[in-house]
Amino acid sequence: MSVNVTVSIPPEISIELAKLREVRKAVVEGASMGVEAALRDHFQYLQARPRADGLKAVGFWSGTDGNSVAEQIGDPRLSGDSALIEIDSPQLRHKIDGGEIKASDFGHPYLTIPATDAAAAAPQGARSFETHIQWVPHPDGGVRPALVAGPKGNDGVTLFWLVRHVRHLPMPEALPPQSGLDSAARDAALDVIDAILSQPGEAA
Amino acid sequence: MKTALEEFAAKTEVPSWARTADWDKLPAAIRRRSFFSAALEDARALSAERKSVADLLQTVSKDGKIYRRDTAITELQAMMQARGLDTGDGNTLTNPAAEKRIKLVLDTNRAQAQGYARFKRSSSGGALLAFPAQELVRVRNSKVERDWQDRWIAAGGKLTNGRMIALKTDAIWTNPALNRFGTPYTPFDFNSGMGLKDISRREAIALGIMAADWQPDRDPVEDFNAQVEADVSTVHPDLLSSITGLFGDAVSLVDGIMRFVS
Repeated sequence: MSVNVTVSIPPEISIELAKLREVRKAVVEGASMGVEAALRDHFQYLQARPRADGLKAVGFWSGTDGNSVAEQIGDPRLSGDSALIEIDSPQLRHKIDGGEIKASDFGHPYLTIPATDAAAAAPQGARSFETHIQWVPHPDGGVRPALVAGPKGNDGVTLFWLVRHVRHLPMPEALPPQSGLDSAARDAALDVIDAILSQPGEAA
Repeated sequence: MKTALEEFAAKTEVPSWARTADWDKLPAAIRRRSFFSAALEDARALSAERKSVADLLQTVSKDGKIYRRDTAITELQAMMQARGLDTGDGNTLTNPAAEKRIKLVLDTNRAQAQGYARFKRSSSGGALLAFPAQELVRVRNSKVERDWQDRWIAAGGKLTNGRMIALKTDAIWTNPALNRFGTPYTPFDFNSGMGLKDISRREAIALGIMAADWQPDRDPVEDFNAQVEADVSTVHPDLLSSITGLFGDAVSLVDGIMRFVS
């Protein structure tokens, strides 16, 4: 025969437990914010790097018009001692994974690759301009199809190169190293604990 | 993007003749709850712009393709032209069918919804304890850069080693001299390249922004969302009438004070 002994937490301890749960939540919120700040810093760093094609940056990584990768960072989903931060950006996914983009996947004969700063920054891409297709000499040699503004012949301005497909290599540095994110989470969590301990009435 | 979408979805469409200068006279609490486009009285056109912003916020797919801003601009431009809203003034901000104008509407509204979502998660609870301050920084180059240090000082801000940093609980963030929209989040002006950088507790203490025993005496998010009253005595009566009519039971207007009741 066994004997059962009931253990119940006294009400005053339950209150303290509830406070501790709030502290735990605050620490995870702080750590999540630390990771978000580190992500933003990283995207800002990538934004400041010169583009591979030499054109002016247009705010792919970090910006203020709602389009950049940094602006797609969502609310963290907290679960116990961890959290999940979603970055709702198919463009970032493609940068990380790399891969081929085909014009036919979009129902178009060509993809447009900007050739000038104005083309790169155009809100509607090629639709922002009146252009015609023309074969023009490419800086890498040979002639290629392009969208050209202005008169036909040699006096037009090449705005976009036309290609059937492009292949991008994976870009693992699109996200900061995990060690950097872990460090950001730890520092922020410690800051939260420090702030809580400095509250009047808390043990220092 | 849930919070951003919720913030945007809570807006009421206000088709109106009012221009930007008229809207600027409205308190931030009303503008925040309104979806409008300067001098756009066409309800269908306004509704189409709103749907595009919502679709962009949700990263929706159409015909298997992700709905992008360039597509949204092209579609809206065609719709505006079909509805006879092209003023024929070319690519200017006063032309509702202009690329520049549509881009501004989409970008500003999307950025504001995202800015609110970021503000909400970064300015309360543990996030506020870990990062109690923020810095106004340039995150995108602009063709013509405004003098933000001038605006910062005009709004009562102090420079810290040349940097524009203040606690998130500081009233400077909603000062219209700094943020023309009167909101504590980005964007700070039309087409502005300025953004916010979170400043950690340890850095804020090291910079002298706050004492080591500083505690937030209020929650900036609760404070902002508690702004349910606004003095509308200087607002044009016609615009005010439109707003009270469209908001319906959600607002009351007594002695020049508009109050949101739901």
